[in-house]
Amino acid sequence: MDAALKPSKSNRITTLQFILIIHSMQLGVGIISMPKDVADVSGTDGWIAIILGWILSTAASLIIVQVMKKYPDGSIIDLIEHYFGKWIGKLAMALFAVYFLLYAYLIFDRMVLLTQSWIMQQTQSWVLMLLFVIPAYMLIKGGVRDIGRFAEITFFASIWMVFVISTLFKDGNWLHLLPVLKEGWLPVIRTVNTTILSFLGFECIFFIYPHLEKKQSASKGVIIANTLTMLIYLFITIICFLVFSPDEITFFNDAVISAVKIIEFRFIERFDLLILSIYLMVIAKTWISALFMSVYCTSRLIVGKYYVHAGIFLVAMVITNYALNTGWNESIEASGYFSKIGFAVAFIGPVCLWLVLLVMSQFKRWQT
Amino acid sequence: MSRAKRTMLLLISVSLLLTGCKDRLNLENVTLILMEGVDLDKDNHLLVYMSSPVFSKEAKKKNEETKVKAISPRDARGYFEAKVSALVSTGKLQNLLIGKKLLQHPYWYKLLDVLFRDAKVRSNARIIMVDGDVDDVMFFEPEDKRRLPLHIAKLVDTAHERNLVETTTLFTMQRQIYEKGVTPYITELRREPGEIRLMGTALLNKEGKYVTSLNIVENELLQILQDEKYQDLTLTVVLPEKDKPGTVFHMGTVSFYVKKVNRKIKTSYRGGQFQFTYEIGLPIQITERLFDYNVKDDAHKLEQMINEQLNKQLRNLLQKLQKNKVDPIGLGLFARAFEYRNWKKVQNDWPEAFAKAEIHVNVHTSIKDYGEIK
Repeated sequence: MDAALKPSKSNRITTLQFILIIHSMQLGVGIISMPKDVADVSGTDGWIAIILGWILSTAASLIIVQVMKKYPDGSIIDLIEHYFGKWIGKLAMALFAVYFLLYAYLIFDRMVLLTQSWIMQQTQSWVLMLLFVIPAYMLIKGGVRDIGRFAEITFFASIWMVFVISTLFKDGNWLHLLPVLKEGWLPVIRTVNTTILSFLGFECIFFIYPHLEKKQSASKGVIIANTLTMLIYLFITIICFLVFSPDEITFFNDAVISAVKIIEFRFIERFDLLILSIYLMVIAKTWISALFMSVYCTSRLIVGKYYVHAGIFLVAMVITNYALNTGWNESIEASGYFSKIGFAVAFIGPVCLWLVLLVMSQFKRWQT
Repeated sequence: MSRAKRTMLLLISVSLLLTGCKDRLNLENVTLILMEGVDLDKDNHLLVYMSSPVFSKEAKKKNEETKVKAISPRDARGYFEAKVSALVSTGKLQNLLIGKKLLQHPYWYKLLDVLFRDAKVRSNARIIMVDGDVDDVMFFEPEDKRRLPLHIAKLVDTAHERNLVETTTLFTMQRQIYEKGVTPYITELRREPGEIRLMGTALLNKEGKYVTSLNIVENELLQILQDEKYQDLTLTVVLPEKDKPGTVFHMGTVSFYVKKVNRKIKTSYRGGQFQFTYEIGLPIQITERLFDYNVKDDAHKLEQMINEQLNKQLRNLLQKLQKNKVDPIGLGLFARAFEYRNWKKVQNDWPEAFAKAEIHVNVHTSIKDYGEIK
């Protein structure tokens, strides 16, 4: 294992960075199609499902923190090796490596598709991917601390978008939200399936927890991170519900960008291009962090420096994209399958692990 | 390598990749479409028009206009590019003119699909009906105005600010088409011999077919009903009680400026029909009064007389809408919001239910100001 990946003084992260890394893993491409995805199932009551999804994801995050407390100086891999032995540890490494690699690729691919269909229709998607390879490589090489700083900068550099998007309130109609719970709770609860997955990303706590400077603020941190994500989701979804008619919103694939497109000031038009271009940074931090977690695992599993692995993966992603040449349909289908794995890794996995650890800690042998 | 060198290397290598982007388009190779038109000729062939500014000093005219026959607006693009100076772009589209003849055919709005679907089109372009042939407007070059597309855009926007016409953009058109509780409406204009004149608002049914028009005065009232007053809204009514016989003038005229519209709608459902009761509070400022009246002592009586006239006008407008089965007000949204169960039964045929609905209007004006003279 690379010494650079071990938690040490040089790669500690502050509580704010901890919060923003989790938040930035959650907030990414999902939000752009979220109003439509939610409205597909439960119409304009979908926003309630976001709050329900938030409760569940916060609970799952807190469980992960509880699990990590059992072995505070190492990542999930060290924890599993400690409790279950070397080979199960290796298995966990392989699983997490593949999981985060898929996570990174699917988001990277979706990000490029968005750029292609909204900004540069004529350019090949793999060419657009190439543009992000070098910055991603450099960020990953910097380790957890650089990723944390990038999350901080991007977060503060994109706050202005909230104010610009708020101008859409004047085009909205609050009647669209009424009546609340028009078809009862059932469709809302069915929508939780969708919204819960939009909070995926908090499973990165498994890997960044050991780097956190003040371990006692971990629980507070995950609650803040999840709440921040939820507030942004809620804000965007409600804005879209106000601007689009309930009968209309399901026709728009990227409802958020379509809505932003109508914002015009005297000195600037076509805010969709501007906001999407800058939002690419927000999306980038999702998959760059995921790729970091992936190479963290692979570099322990196989020999080699972790950033060499990252470079190889990045080039492989471009080649894969060139070879497969996939479009929107494939991307949406693959995300559908992936979200099932995500549910297992982020929700079911931690709960099972936590219960097992609770039982194990009853025995003397494991009480260290 | 030092940090500065590495940064330079990064910048250079990233900028080298930029040449791989094929979307580069030089500004001199772009013909910006400011106005597009769609119409049918006398044999029902689709005609697509475009108008774009010319920035060459050698050209004598400020605009170039083109007309082609095509099967759809996107199909017309190729024919345009074969005729105009450079590659066409719809990113700055201001107006979309639709001929009245085209509006006689249901589902004509499907032709706008390319404008809804293409990410590059400006979605705030105004949709305008031409009462007559699009030809007459498109090739019109007024001498005392600026470029026609920009002139029309300004004309429509400012008239809308004064509540004289409704405006519908590509974006709001989609809402009006898909939303079940409202019927679409678009600005209406006409080419007069020396000028372009706004006529008011054209009302379309759910299939997009032209049904009837509202004139400028009716449009002002419609915007009161919609609670969408923008800037200045000045109404003029003639009070029969104060009208004097024996003169050629309407001596009973009073004009006032509406400071605010306080609209409340009560929605209910009784006996198989929807019931809407409007309570409209209008704080007003009198700006013109052709008869003598002591407002200071008896404002209430004058308010009553104005209320009565406004009630009558609004009821006439509502009757017109109900008779034609069009609901540009969007009362369907109220039905959905407050009577959801009953709404669900009629949602796919809202205009029919709207025509049957019982609508009451009560205007309550209150005089806040009557100007500088008694």
